[in-house]
Amino acid sequence: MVATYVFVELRQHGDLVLPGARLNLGSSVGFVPALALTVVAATVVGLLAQVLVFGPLRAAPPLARVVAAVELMIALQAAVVLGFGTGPRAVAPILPNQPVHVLGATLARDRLWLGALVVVAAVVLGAVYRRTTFGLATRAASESETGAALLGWSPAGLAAGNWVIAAVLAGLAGVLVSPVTALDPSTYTLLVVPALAAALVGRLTSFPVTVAAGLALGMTQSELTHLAATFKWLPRLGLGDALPFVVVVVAIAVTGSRLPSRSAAAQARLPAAARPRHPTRAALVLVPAAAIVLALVHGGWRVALVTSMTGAVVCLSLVVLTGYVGQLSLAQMAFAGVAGFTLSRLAQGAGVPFPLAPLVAAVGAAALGLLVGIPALRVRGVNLAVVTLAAGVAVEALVFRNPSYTGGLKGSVVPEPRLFGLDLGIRVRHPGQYPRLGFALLVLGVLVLLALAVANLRRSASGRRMLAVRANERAAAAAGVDTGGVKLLAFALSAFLAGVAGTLAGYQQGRLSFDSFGVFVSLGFLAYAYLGGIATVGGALVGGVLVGGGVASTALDRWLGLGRFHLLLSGVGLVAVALLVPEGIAGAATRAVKANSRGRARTASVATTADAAGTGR
Amino acid sequence: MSVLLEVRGLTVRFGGVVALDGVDLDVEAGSLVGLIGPNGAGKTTLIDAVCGFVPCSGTVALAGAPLHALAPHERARAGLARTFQSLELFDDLTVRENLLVPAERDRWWSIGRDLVRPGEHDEAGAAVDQALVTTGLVERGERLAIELSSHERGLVALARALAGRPRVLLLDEPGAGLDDAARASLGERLRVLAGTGMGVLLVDHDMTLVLGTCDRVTVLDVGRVIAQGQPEEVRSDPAVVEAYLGSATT
Repeated sequence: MVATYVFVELRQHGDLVLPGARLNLGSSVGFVPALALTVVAATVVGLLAQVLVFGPLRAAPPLARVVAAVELMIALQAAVVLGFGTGPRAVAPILPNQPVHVLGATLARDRLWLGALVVVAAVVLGAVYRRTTFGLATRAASESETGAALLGWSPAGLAAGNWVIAAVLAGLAGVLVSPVTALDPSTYTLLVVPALAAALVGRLTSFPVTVAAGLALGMTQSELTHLAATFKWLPRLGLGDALPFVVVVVAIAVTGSRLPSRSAAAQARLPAAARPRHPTRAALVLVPAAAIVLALVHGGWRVALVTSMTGAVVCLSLVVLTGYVGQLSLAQMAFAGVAGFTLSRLAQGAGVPFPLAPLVAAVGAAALGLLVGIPALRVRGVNLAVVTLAAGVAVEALVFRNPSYTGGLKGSVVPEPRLFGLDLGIRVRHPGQYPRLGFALLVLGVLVLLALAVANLRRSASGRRMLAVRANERAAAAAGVDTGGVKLLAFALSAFLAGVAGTLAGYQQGRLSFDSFGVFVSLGFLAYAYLGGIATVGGALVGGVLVGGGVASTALDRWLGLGRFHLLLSGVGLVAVALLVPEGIAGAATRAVKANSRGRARTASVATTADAAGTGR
Repeated sequence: MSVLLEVRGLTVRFGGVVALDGVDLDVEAGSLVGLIGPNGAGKTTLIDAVCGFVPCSGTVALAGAPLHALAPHERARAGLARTFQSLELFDDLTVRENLLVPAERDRWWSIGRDLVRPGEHDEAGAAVDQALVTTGLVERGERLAIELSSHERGLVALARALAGRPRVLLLDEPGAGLDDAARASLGERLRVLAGTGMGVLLVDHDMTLVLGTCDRVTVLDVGRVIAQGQPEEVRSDPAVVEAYLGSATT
């Protein structure tokens, strides 16, 4: 995507865009030099990705690498938005696109050219990886990095080479398809979903299968658009976007296995899930403090705190799923959104009263969580991340973008919560008081209950089973743990928590629109949760502080005027945290406090000994 | 003595390779049965197949009840416990928590109770305490599994298998990486365990440990049983000498 923007900018304005600067190379750069510079840009991005991010993360757990990849994606997207704006761009045709008649259908010629180029690329790639020493070494290194290193190949060097190849290919593909699709940051980023689906079908190893799957997937998506226009009973939108999810699930059902095999390599560990010692005591101190702060602050700051508390609930949902059970989900906001819109229907449409409606809505989200969790019985790690990403995209396309479910651009109304005649809503009758303290306290109460529940979970038998699954699925099964059941339970519980967050967001906004629950929002939350500390309740609370619109971003905006860099900064911050303090900010803080107090104790005892020695003389 | 674990015609294929070929094996209550064989003989595959980790043909029955339709965790709950050659401890958990995992029974209402009132429940705590005493790990209960020495980690693996109160215990090379004294004390511990009425299958390639402590010994080579019987008989069996001991005993 970055490469495509560089290319388009060169062709349209003759500007070479560098970080923080523009170099004007005349009014419009010719095709060949522009393409050459684009390749250089893609090479640089690919190399930087390896050298700055993935090289240092080589020994990190797969979760950290997935999160880093997601973050890199978000950071690059944020950079593109900052540098080029969000508007879609029309791009002049690159390949010849006169109409051509094939088997009675009329096609633009460039579509055929694209198909042919892809096949050629696959053949070349296949030959490179089969026949050359570089290819052989790459395949060897992917089997065993240590082995390849012992034979004198640098795994880092090989990875860098492959990153460059991948980045250049992706860049060229982006440039070539830009005239066909509209060029805008979010569409381009989401192109990765069908691409990953095709790659999974090729089991991430076969070029021909991947290409065939990709072409078939693309053609089926186009055909589905046509079918949806022809048959009235099909959803008019979103079928095509939901297709990759179906493809991925089928591919997994065919190839996955319920327990990892004996030879499955031991994975690096996830951040430690420390056992909370006195959660109730901590709550007794924190809750009154938080209530006082909420009462003292007004306006924007109170909104920020409420947003942070809701965000912390989403982070809690990730603590259960990722922190405790080690499963990845990039679809959390889909769960939240389903609950939010269900709440709107129940409360506004059917008149279900306050505490019941959000509960039922969250249970609905839990049911969806179970459904999305089923593939997790057979896939793990990166592949599971792809499945949930595809699921998130499918839910967004089929449900959230369907105006008859969500009210389209107008959004869905969520009525104010009231309990026993007590108004717990956020809106006020007199202007200037927004948001109302009652609502903030309601959110605080919900957060405290859920945080205590998640902390209790860690200290209970169910929590031990979850951590056993995270640590070692085979050993857990041998110890009588139903690993599949535990995963499904975690998905349901996690979706329930995300659903509660969705209903809180609904009450806060009053009118829900689908873009609050997009896939990118999910990706962002995973990043915040990881930044805060993915495996502990404290980490989730810190993650809540960091979320977009929360306390940290408000402070960034008001004190430093850097609000629009929030996304970019969180991306950079995530990579830094993943590298330096894998247990997250909360864990690092706890450790620092412990080390500090231990250090002080030692100094004190040394001092006492010195005193004793002094008086003894 | 009653047969607790009964294996008949156990066959495992990986693609075209026959890893186990019609193996018969019995483990009686209160007995310590040895399973030996050179590398690649199929010893670990046999444990994997009995515990349901690899697909197999043939029958496996625990106290007369067939196991073939059960998933690995259901076999574990039925009373079959195993250790792994590479231990496979839950590294992020304390020793006590490691042992609680098999000791605690999962019920459908567990999660609701656990969210509100966590802690140890049922007789799980007692089973864990007993396993800690048996293995001499009482002092180590609150340490993280990953912090222990390799000898202690091996004991944690054994204790974890015991904490589920199994009827049959399958041990995959528990003596690996131990010095002679530790091996001897391991042998004594296993004899004591068998004395409580448990059936114990000891897989190892250390002849001294297996022949010195077991009641009966089965010898595997390339997926087939080549000898079965008392340790003295097996030691002098020509096929065993040929396949496994080679010239070492001459």
